[in-house]
Amino acid sequence: MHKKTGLFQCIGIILCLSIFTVGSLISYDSGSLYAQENVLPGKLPPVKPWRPNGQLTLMCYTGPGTAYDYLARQMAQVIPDYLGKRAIVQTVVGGSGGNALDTLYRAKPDGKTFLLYAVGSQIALTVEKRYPWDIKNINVLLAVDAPPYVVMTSVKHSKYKNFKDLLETKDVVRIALGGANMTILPLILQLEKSGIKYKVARFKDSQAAFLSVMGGDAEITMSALSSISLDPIRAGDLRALWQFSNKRYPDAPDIPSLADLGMPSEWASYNIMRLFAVPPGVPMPIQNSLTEGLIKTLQDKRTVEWSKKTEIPVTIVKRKELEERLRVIEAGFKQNIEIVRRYFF
Amino acid sequence: MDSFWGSFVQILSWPCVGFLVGGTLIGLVLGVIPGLGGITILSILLPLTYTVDFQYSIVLMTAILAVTITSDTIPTILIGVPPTASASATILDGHAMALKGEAARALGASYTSSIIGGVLGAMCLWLSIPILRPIVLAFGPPEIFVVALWGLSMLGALSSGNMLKGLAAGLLGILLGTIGRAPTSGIYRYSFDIPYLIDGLKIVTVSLGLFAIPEVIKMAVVKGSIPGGEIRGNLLRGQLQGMADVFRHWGLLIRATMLGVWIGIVPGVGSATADWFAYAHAVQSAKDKSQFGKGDVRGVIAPEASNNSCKGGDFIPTLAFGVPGSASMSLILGAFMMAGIHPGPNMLTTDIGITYKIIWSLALANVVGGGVCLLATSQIAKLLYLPKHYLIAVITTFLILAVYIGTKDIGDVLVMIIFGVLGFAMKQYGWARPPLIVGFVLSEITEWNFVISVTLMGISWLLRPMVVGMIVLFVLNQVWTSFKERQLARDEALIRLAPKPEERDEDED
Repeated sequence: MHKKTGLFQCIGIILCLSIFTVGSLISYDSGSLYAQENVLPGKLPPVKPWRPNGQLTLMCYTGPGTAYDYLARQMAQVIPDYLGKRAIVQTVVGGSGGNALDTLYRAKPDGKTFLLYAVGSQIALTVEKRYPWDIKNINVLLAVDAPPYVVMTSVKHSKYKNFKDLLETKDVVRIALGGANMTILPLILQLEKSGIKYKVARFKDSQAAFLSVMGGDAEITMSALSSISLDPIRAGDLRALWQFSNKRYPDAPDIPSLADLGMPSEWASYNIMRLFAVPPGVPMPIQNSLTEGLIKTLQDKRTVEWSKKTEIPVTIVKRKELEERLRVIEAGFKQNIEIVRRYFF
Repeated sequence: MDSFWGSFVQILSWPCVGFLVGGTLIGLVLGVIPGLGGITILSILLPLTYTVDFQYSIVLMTAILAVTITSDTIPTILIGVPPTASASATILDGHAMALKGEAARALGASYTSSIIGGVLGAMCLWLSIPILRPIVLAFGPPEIFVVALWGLSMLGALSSGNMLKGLAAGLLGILLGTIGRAPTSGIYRYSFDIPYLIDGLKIVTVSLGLFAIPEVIKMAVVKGSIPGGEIRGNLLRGQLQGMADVFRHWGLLIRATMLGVWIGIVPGVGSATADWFAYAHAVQSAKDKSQFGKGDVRGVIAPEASNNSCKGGDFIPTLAFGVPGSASMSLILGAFMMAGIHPGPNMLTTDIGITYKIIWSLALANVVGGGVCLLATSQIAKLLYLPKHYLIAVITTFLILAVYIGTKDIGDVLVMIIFGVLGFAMKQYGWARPPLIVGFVLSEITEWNFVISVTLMGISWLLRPMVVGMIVLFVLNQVWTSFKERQLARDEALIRLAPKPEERDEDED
């Protein structure tokens, strides 16, 4: 009797260990940024997609009135159709995105909480450790592209009609920088390479920087090619000199690209990407289901129409491109940390 | 002109009028609750723009924005708890009047000046349409710096008679405003590696702690009802007296309104600053300053007129350039974006109808909102007689919610409590709190704009025409104020030295 009991106990222990091992392998994170890329040695049979058992929380790292906030709210309208549960938008502001990432880090890894934030926050915390946890433990599900940055000057006050005028100038170029802006680094590197003296004044946001340029207090400013900058360009208040993109953006076909001007193509990496991430420890099947649900939400007809109306793009960035861009930015930041600290953090 | 009157007719027709009245009532009710300022309410209602036609949603949003700063005087005056930062200036004299049993008078004055200030602000927006864009562009960083400096010069006026303590409090406020990231270098100042302090302290947290918590502590410690005695006279008579006070001080009302409009035009300065500017101006320009802080009705009229007129000013850069004049304007811009409308020169030409609709919504919402509040004043004043222990529980809960609801950060609650203790201590030991809050609000604006001006222009910014004009006006104002004060002091000395009538009779004998 005792021998049989002992045998059953052994079998039970072996079975438990097997289930545990297989379960661990399923949730193992190989370190790739994209959840779908983690494959097990040997294929598992297809599993039913995960669906949350309660309300979802879509955190947003900026306050109301920003493109991230609008995108999050639009997605919250459509997500129930693909993930089966209602989503609420929760804004967590402050610390240049650090507060939101900190909140995400501490959230339960049940797949019901995910964060929409900017790639700049990701890189900043990679280069400069500010929290007791490691940013690399946050799982990025996918990235959405944002319009490229454009360098602009005043139509009324500026003598720079195009990029060539700027490169040939002997005057000090005054740059009005609105908020934290990664493309300041390639801009400064270009000016230094061309031997142009410059001054940079940091404004609280891009609109205040625009007013300064339109008023003649500065020569150039930068912003993403969304309606925020397209409106003054269309209104004839600002003139675009070039865009930080290798191909001309469809909404701005008249603005020269990096390729047109012979500038390094890798500078296009410094444009904003909007990332979706989940806390560490979220099992892989849940990450995969969430990713699939988010992709369908972004590609939904309603989101696409909204995107056209508001000029906030919802183009998904492919994994390889995302990793390459992150590598370029991280290397650039580390090499020029003083410039970054002064003008970006 | 047809478009102007056409927009008026449209607003008064159904369903537009329903959105106007609905927005006004929502704004009035929610404006009373601490922490639920215009921006929070608008962000909750923003999803409406997805489903409701833009011409109605813009009327709704404008109406809400116009009146939240009208109803916020109810808790400010009655119980001394300002629901928003822009009501802090009214607390000094408004609540003092309530303690003297003049709550109805304070409320009557507050609503009347809010109505007139709001309507005049809307009118200024209308009149400035042809020159909207040059006005906004005229205010660059040097001009904003001089305006902020002017505000800092008023610290003395807010010191309740003790200049040294007032200046010390103001300097402390300026120092507290420097916590966080420096504008030029990106270096963290006084953050002590605490992530909460990276973005600095928040105005809502500081002002609620400084002004509201001491009142709650006082309520807990002092027995009896809030006024501590009978209300003076009939409530309706008090309200009518308040309304008459506004017309009696019509010069101050107009000046405070203009100040609010100008402050609103400058992006990033905000209605909290407009309030304090107007209050300080009321103190500086008064012949008899002795009653300020003790229940002077002028201390209610000036800030209330300016914070309502400020909304009209806020719309100027928003419509002219798509640059939000304040945080709540960024949500209005969001509604524009959802509707595919682009603020800019077209708002003064092809889309002028929308501009007129906004102007009419501002004006009419102020009239409707102020009117509703005036009708309800006598009933609202009776809240003073609720037992304090009920009020304390409700107020404390709302205060904590107010600071927590926006950021979900417990650090905000802790900071509010710390400033509450500081505010209580300052009140007990005779240190004026307004200079601290004004220094705090203006610290970042002053530093940021000074650094930008010097970086971009060297010292040549000192020679800009508007800067020179404002400095000349400022100097003249200081000279005139000193002259008047010396004259007043000399007159008082002469009166003291003049022989009394009894002494003169004895001499003659």
